[in-house]
Amino acid sequence: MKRNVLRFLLLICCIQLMVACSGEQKEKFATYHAAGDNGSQSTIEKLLNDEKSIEKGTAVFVDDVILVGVQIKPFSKLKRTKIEEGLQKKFEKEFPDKEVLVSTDFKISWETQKLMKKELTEKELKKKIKKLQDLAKEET
Amino acid sequence: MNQKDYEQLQTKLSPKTPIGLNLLKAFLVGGIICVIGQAISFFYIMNFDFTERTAGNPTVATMIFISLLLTGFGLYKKLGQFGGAGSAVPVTGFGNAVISAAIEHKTEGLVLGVGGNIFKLAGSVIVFGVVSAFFVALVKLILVTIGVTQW
Repeated sequence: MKRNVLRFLLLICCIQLMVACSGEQKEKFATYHAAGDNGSQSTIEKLLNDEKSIEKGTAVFVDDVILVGVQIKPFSKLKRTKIEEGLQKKFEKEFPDKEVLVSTDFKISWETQKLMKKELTEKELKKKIKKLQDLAKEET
Repeated sequence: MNQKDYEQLQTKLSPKTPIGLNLLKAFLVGGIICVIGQAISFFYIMNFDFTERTAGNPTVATMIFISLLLTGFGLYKKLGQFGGAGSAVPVTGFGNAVISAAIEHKTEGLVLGVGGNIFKLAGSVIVFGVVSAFFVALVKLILVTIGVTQW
């Protein structure tokens, strides 16, 4: 009886492994802007495209604030802080007059994706972005 | 019968430990505990204002609470019997060590009984953890001074 249970568990594990390995290609980058600023959009998309270790990136920009949430590919997660710092520097160099925040945190990128799907006014968007910026700075 | 003969007889008669099966069981039990921890972490990230960095605190607190319930009801020891190191290594195992010591010495009073003996098992964990952290930091300091790596 016990051996049968163990064999069953082993079978489930093998099936799980096979299912997990087949990944589908999702939409890689998405940007959202409140004020129609198409120049910045293409620059941001190019910057995100150039970084090979990003799996998915979402950027939201309003006025002087750019919030970028990225999800990194699993094997590159060891160099997470380096990638984050590198991206932050690139964005700051590209947009020196804007307040840029790049985050690899799952919460920030998930919330940024949620912001894109909602239809918010500019004021509400700014408030949400401010909240996310404060959240990203929390240490404990 | 002298000691050597007795030892040989003992080795011959005692059953062999199924190392492969034990490894597999420990791997599965430890892995499932970690999956549950990750699920709790995601729960906190998605439903509250926690980032990946800050969600560790409530996750560990919840895991230890679960371990408290399991230890109190006498279920954790059954898990330990089955999973071995898989249930002892994660933070739930640490919680179990502390909680079971507290339960055991409850009859001796709160201050000297519980307070004096609560870290009976966990004390070694803390001592060796701190000592090894010290040595790891020392090694890193040497590597950073040489220039191999950075802080």
